[in-house]
Amino acid sequence: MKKQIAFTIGKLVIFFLLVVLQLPAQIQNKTIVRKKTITQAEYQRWKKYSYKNDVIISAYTGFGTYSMKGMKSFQTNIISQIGVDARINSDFPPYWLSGLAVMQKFDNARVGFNFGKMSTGARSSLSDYSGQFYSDIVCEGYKLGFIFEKDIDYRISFAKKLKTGYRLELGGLYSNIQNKVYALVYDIPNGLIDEWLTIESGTYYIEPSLYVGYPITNKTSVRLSAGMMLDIPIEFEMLIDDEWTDKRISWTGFRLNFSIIHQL
Amino acid sequence: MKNCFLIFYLLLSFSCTFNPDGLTFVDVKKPDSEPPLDVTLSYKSDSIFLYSNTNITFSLNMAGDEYNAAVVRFYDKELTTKEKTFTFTIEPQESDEWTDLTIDFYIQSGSGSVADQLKSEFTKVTKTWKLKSIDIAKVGLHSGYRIHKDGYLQVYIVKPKGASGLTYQCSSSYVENEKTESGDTLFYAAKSYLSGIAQFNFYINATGYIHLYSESLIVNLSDPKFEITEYLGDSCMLSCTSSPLKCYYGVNSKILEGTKATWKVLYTFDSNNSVYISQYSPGDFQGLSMRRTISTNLAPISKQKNYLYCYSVDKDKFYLSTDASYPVLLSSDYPLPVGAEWLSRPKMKIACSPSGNYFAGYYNSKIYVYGDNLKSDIQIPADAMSNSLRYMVVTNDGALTYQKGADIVMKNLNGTNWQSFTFTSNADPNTSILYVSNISNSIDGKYICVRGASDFKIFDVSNHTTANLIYENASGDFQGSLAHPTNPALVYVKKATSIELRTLPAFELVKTINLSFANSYMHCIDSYSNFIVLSSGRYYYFINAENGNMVYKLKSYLDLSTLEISFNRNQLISGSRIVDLTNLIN
Repeated sequence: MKKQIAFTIGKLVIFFLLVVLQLPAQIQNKTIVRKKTITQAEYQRWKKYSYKNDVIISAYTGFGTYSMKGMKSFQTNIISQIGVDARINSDFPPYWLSGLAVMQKFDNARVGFNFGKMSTGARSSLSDYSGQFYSDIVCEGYKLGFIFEKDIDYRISFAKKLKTGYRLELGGLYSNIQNKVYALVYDIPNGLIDEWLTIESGTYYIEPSLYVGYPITNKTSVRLSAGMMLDIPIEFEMLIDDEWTDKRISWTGFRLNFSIIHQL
Repeated sequence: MKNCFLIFYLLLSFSCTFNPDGLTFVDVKKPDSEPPLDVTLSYKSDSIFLYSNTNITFSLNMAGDEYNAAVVRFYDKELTTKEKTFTFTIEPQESDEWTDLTIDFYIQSGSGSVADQLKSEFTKVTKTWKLKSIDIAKVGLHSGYRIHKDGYLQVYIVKPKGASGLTYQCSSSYVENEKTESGDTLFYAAKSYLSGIAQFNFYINATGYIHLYSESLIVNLSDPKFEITEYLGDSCMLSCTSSPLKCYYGVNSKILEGTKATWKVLYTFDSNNSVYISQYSPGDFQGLSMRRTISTNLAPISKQKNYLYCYSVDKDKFYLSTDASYPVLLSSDYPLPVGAEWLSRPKMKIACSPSGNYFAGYYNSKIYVYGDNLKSDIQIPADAMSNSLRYMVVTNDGALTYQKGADIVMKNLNGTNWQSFTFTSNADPNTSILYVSNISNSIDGKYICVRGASDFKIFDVSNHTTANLIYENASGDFQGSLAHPTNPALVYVKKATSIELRTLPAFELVKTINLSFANSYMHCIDSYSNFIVLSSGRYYYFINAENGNMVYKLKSYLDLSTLEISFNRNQLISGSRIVDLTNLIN
């Protein structure tokens, strides 16, 4: 699995270097300046078919809902196995997300890469005169995906500057799940439980969305997008009542993002 | 602008990691009482005595999962267990001081609190016992024996105080596996023990057959005293005394009923006078494993004498002849002397008149006549006969009568005008064939009754010159006769199942004595007791001549039909044996 993730990330980096950063083109420009032997016609023809240097950086934050269905039962199983009648304080609620995207503009479309982070979690706890107990699950998801987005030639009459479009994101998703069980019994000096469990895994995802953008300056604009992320759930096994039971980590859910986009 | 992007992104990145918070508080009441605890220790007492490595097990009787752990502390050791039943071993120490055995039981509170749910809230309940190490070699062991109520020997040891985990063994050939326990005392049944010195070894072993201590017990009960007392002629009194055990006993092949410590039984002989007593221990009786036998050939009820004798009814005296070569008689009162000395010397057959005035002896064809001084001054030639001639009678008129073949010879001892008189009777000439009382003289010497081969005749010989037949009966009904010992005018005649007293010479019936037995012979009559002696088979019968009752029955181991028997003053005399029946008859 790790090899697959590494291989995927490697391919994305190469694609980023070759396509987004246009390293071959930069090297070629330098060659042109040095040689100064190109003709004007050739330059025009080259310019026509070469990429424009319209690199866009987008930073975003937002709010996402996360399925985490398997993790909810994981949480229940954890406290059940410990044998404490803990109450649920939080149960994988919708939570903030953020990300950074780099894209190359092609007319009214853009392609690029997006790196984003998602997080959610859960807590079950109980405390009284004798001590306290809680079980925390903190899920962090890191995604790295290829972006293709395109503006739709649709103008809203009362806001001529608004720009709408759609976006499709495909990529890999790395998950880091940490479960912390903590217990403290006041009367017993060594009555402390502080255990960590970490689950790491990777999978693929696809996230289509629609956006509405508004230019602030010539190079900077803000955008509001809404979409749905679908991933291939990550499976792991958990020993419950002496039987290995399948559990799934799924970040699938709705996404609502606010972005600041800047063209370099 | 680039830096603004970077800062914006970093802030968002760090801030968007989910941070769980909140802690649910539940108000749970803290338990304030100690839970009841039912703890059972394999050692029953609160004070534990250690004689060896002792395994002690505690069992906590508690349902549910509330019990968590126990910490056992003794001497310098501390053991922790989570088991409800836990066995630990305590090794005795050199010190014999009391110390504590404590067990702290940690019981889950059950309050439902977090600590309780995490099985970390416990109530500690402490149980304490006392420990003491004891060196058994120093304190020793109490052992002993007793007689069980069933009569067998029991050896016992008193178990060391508070000992646990020890095994006890008693080694002895008398002890089997049977062991009973009463309190602290272990009893071992030694059912095969009868008497004498016996050693019982007690061993105390610790777990693993580790020898701890041994002690020996010597038991020496006195041998039971058996006594075999000749009681009656056909029986003897057997007794056992002083045996503390109740054993089974057998006499010959007969087992006496039940167990006895002392007993006394009358045993009737079967076919001989040999008696053996078998003693069986209570435990061995079923197997009839005889452990002790006392056997004896009963000394005959008779005693040996070394003389021949005659008896004077009137003088109530016995006259003894001890040595044929020394013709002097000895007079003897009752009781007659007994002894075996000079038994081998030949004796002279003697007879005296019932009045005690005339004495005669026969030896080697001579008749010795004794005077008042009991010395023989006169010898009369006589017929050659056996020195042990059976029929030789002296009557009060001084006449000596004996049988020679079919003839009856009378010789005068008083020196009057007649000297000898012989007549032929119907007596069987073969004197080895005995018809008891075939010839009898009236004590006055006037009549002689002869029972021949089949007939019965009475002769009048009062003149000592002729024998006149005054009565004859050829029917064979009369089997024999006895002259009355004191009345010359009476005679007893024996019939098949009766004795008749008849007169002489008229031979008229005076009275009849019926007999309860048949095939008997009439031997003699004792003037002192007035008992008529008869025999049948191996038994003597003593019949009271007055009332006809059978007074006594005496068994002999000889065939009495061939014996010459006399009975005077309760002295039953036959050959070299004499039986004093005075006590028995009384």
